[in-house]
Amino acid sequence: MKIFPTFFKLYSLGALFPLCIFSSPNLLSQPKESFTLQDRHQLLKMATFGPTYQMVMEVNATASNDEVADEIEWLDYQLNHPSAYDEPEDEWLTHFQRVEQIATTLEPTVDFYKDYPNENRKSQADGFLIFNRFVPNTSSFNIDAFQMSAWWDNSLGNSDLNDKVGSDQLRQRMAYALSQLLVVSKAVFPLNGRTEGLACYYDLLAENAFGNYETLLQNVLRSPAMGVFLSSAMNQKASLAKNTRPDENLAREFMQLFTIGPYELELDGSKKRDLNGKTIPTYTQNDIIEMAKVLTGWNLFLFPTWERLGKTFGSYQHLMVFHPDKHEDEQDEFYANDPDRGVITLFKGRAWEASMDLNASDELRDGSGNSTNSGLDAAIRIVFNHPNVGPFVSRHLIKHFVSSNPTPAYVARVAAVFNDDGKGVRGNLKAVLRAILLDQEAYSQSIEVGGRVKEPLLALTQFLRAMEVRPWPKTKSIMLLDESNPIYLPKMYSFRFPENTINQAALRAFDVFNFYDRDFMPPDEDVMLNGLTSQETEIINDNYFPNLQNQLSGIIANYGRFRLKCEDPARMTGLDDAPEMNYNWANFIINLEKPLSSLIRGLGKETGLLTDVNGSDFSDDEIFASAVDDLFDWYETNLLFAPLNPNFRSAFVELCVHGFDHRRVLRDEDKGQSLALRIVENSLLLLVSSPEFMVDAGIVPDLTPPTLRILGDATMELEPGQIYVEPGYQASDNVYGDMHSRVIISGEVDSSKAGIYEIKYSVVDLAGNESSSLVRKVVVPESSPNAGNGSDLWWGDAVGVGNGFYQSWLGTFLPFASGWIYHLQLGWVYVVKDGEDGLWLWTDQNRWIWSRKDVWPFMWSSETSDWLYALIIGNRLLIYDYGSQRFQ
Amino acid sequence: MHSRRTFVKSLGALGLASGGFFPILSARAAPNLPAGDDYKALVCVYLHGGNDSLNMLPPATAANYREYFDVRGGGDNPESGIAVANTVFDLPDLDSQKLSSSTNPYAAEDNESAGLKGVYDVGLGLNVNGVMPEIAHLIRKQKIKILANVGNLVEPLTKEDIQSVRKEKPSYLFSHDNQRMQVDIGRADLDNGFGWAGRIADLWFGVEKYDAFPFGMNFSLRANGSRMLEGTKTRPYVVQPNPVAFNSMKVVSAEESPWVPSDENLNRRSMYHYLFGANPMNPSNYRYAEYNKQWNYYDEVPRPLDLTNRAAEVSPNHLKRIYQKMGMNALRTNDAVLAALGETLNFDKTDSYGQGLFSVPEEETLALSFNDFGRLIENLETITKMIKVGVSEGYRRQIFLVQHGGFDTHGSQLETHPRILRELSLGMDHLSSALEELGLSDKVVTYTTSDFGRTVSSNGDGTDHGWGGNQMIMGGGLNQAEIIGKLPSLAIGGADDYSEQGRIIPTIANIQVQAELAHWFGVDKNYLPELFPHISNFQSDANEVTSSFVNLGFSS
Repeated sequence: MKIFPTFFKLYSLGALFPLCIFSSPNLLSQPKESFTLQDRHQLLKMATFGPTYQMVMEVNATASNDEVADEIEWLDYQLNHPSAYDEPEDEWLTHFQRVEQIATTLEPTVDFYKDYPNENRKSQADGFLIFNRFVPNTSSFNIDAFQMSAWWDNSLGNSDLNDKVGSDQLRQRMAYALSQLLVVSKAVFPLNGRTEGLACYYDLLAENAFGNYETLLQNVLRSPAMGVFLSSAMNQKASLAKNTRPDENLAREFMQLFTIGPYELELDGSKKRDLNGKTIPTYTQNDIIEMAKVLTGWNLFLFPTWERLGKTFGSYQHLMVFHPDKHEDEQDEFYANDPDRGVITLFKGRAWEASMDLNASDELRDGSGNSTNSGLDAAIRIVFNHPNVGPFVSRHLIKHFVSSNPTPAYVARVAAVFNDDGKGVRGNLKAVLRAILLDQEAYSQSIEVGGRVKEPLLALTQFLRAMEVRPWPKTKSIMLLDESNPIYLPKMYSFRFPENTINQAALRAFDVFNFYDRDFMPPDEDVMLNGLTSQETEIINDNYFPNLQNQLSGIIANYGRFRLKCEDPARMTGLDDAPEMNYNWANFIINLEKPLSSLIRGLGKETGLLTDVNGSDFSDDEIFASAVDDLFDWYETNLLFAPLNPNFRSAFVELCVHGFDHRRVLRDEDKGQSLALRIVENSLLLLVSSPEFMVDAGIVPDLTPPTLRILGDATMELEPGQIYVEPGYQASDNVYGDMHSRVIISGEVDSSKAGIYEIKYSVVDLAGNESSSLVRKVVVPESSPNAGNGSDLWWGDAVGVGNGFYQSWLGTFLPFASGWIYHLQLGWVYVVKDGEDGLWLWTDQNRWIWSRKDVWPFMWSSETSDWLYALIIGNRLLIYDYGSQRFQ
Repeated sequence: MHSRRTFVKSLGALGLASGGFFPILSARAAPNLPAGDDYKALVCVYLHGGNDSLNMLPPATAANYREYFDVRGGGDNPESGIAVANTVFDLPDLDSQKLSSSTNPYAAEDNESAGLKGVYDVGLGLNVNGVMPEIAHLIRKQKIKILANVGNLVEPLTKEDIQSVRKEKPSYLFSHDNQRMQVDIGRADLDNGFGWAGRIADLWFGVEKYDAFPFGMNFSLRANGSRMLEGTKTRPYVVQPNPVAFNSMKVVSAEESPWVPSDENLNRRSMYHYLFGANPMNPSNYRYAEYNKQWNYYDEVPRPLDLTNRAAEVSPNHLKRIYQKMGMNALRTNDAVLAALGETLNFDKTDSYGQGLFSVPEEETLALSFNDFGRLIENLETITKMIKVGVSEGYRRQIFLVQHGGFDTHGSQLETHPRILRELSLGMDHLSSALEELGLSDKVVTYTTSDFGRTVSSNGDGTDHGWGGNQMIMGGGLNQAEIIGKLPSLAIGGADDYSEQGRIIPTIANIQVQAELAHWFGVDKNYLPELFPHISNFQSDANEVTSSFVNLGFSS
């Protein structure tokens, strides 16, 4: 047992430690102003469907103001980027226009605008061309596939089509985020088969993505897709004679899912609780009944009936039309006992109680261009002004864009911007999105609990975009009218049913509750102990893994098939002879040329061309391993945009070098190309399906440059004519581990000429931190550089954060030379090694306690000989004592 | 007990949702395991969206039918209503006489409203909708019981109790996800928690023959967003009727590759293992010796890639660790699920059309137009296969949840509801026949449950969210058709109506049924109050938890 040190608390707390980024709200609340390369990667991961190396390089292209970080200028450029919604006729295509274009090109024999005889229907004589009234006797279900294709175009970008589509990445990404909040889905009859309505709905989300949330709601509640999805189309006023009353479906979900949620919330998104600890309902059944009355009188444009929905009826490309005679006015006998007919009151008894006229005039016109008096906009305003809306919407967006477990303070900061953008405007989505993406917390989260599991669709788009995806040039039309004369899809992506394999597809959630529960907690002790949620894991099940693997491997294998047919594989050109592809396959074609080149150059083939590779190039294991290392550098820089776990990396190298029996290749010289290709295919497949790619772990700002050291003498002498042999160098980084393969060497020695030559060494980590460059002089000898670090300290493996340190198990602390540390939650602790892997900790309260990496957060108290358990939640600490069976 | 209460209270103060998020700190005695090889399984058919059970099982007595028809029939316009007609169809004895497209009692030229044409009389206070001849047949054969007016409750309630705010009603009534959550977690006052069946699986986690390796006890089919099977230690195995293998583990671009070395698949597979945090070469990484057999082939082939001595990498990030675990589990179960579901089951018995069990009838045969039809039947076949594997492998307990969707019939009720009721009827019949042929009828209990019942009143095109509703239960040796519980008054604004729109106050709590099922399943009765904290509110004898049961009538 160690002796209790008597110089207790010689060090005052001072102002040092509270400056640590984890505990200072002031520092955190400042929007981000300066960006490292690591921050730039993070911004692009959040604001796009996947960063590309080109994007990382081109962030500066939009910069014009030296006072503002390039990244912020890029963000503002995206927030003010032109889009398909500026001009009706230009190269930009809305989702709907693209669906129309694909349909009419691919199915030329179908008249999608024909007015099929039906006496109930208005005709073209009314001046409207309505697309796809579920054309009878054709495969109009193909429209579902075309709508999905339009989504891929806009999310992935489709430079074969034009360079505009998908260049408004942030707008499209925001539309996707909103589509998981204001949910409609193909899953409901009759939206399947009328998915042009979904394309129009997505357009509506994209058009209003940077607008005002209230305006968005006004559109959403009038949209035909929502009207059909939540049965507000054909919703009519009450009738005692018919024994009917308004449909409550949309009324309920509008409040519960689109605006305020079921529980009253604090500004920071946490649930308010009453004195008994119970949550407080935001609305009552009466509010639903009242709201349902407002939502009556609407029907699809050109819809003849108030009885049945049918696929062939009505327009899904116009907002719904208001019918005053069907709108609730509370004049029916049904309301004989209603004291104030024609007026409804929402949120009775709350501070935000408001009444409105059921015939109040609206701001927005209806689908036939008429102004209306439905009270809809008045009701939307009442709900929109409820204090819950800010935190409710903000929390959803943060979880979508940034991390699964944002701090309440982060939610509060964003919700405050929702409530007032600084100019007195409420619901300004552009300001809200800016606040989310420029918040410090988006760039600095706990290593343990930060980040989020990539949702399946975003994982796929990030992979595809990084790998320069394009649509397969010859995909057969879905509608095979004539086998001998097939029609090929015009520069169009086809992946028809992502929901069947990767459990997710835009606008195809199972129901209005989206793909997952925002507060889903996977059963896992670590996760539960920390109170963590991970909504994405709810759809990541046992079927997901083989399905995802097979999907990815199919996409990767496409490349090999495709490449053989290319005239110039390096440029992926000359595709006329490309093989046909069945339309049921995902027709993505990715480009493996660059990773292949980096492998091949590493093998010593300067051309980087696959055709130059021979079996014998793989004969030297060391060269082979270093080439694989180069390949993984490429993956880090171009695909992960983050460091790869060094242990995974070395296992990958082992797999590639020793895992394939390349000795067999050597017996057959010309199989070298197959081997190179297979190494890239295999490593990419395994890397992309691994947790390293599939999970965006928490990020801690990395401001520490790599350390660099040269081996051998810093100054050396060569005999004239003697060949310079590089004596070697070492580089390592606090985050990335070994950096040897990334060291850049410049300078040449010409030993035939006398002189002093300089060889320069430098290395930059992926966060953009550059080591100080070292120089080796080739001429005069001197002593070697000194070494030494704190590796014998018990916290030698800790990482610097702010002005403190962070260790993977013990947490965050500030060490002092005396042996004392100030621990973020435990306070002052005196630490000594126990001679092995464990630590003895002295604390005021518990005296000597012992713990170890694999034991923590359990601790053993030598005082009581009982176990203790440290429950850490944020900066708070509770210690559970198994002896007394209670919290201390 | 004292310390545990304190503990839960502290958790609440921390803002964590209460209800067992924390690992169990003190060792808990293992539940008493029944002796012998008594296989038992529970099959929950979840009618997703809130079933309008009034149209599934319309009132049979004249007075009750009148109440129902007055509200739903349309008054002066009976043809525009949504009440099922009181026309009684003849029901053939489906054991000897099969249905055909021309003898469907419900068939009519306008099949969109097939569900309104008429009913079967099964001699109870409720009739059976005309699109469900198989259900009517099963009831007549004493194989199905009806649970009347079931719903979420914290404690027994009357209308007076609610008006005077004397007692606690379930929180967030009429909201889908809250009510579903309450059904799933076995308590009606919380908005988050773990599933009651998940916590049963926790009890037997790792217990030989109870925890059916490699899948675990609980199986979920098409059950999006359900918590019922989510435990604190266990997750349900998500079964897809046609599972896929890790094809990519076998060949990448074989089409264009002149050859693929024989050991390549092996290497890719072992690398995948490594990435997902487990060492495939080390037998101790598996909890169960049986499974290691599958890896024996590693010893018979050369191992160019040797990851044997590498420690699996564990990330400091919790979410990465979770993802690793899930991936590992998927890989571990993949071979087993392929084997289990790859087998074709053949039965001597046929369905009500004389076709093979679990076949999906053609639209012409059904005389109903269908959309996205057959998933329930397919899923029940999958369940049967997993039950068969469970029994043959000597496992003793399995719980299955299958979701049958489309019941949120606010609109288009006439088009939608008959189709899904028809499918439910066929599915229950297939399952009943298959289990009978396998000799497992008494070992498996199948029951329906739902978010809530629907309003008695109509919105013109459908019905809205209600509260109490009727459910069905079969198997487990139940051999008497009866209605358990009391049929409520359907009068709008009447004694059993919570609101003015026919949201019926339940008289049986979901937890009463669940507790009795859990007890039948083998959960010690002393543990029931932990699973269902409000169960004591329903006990007639304060000292006897089984006095809360509705007496389903299990043979054992």
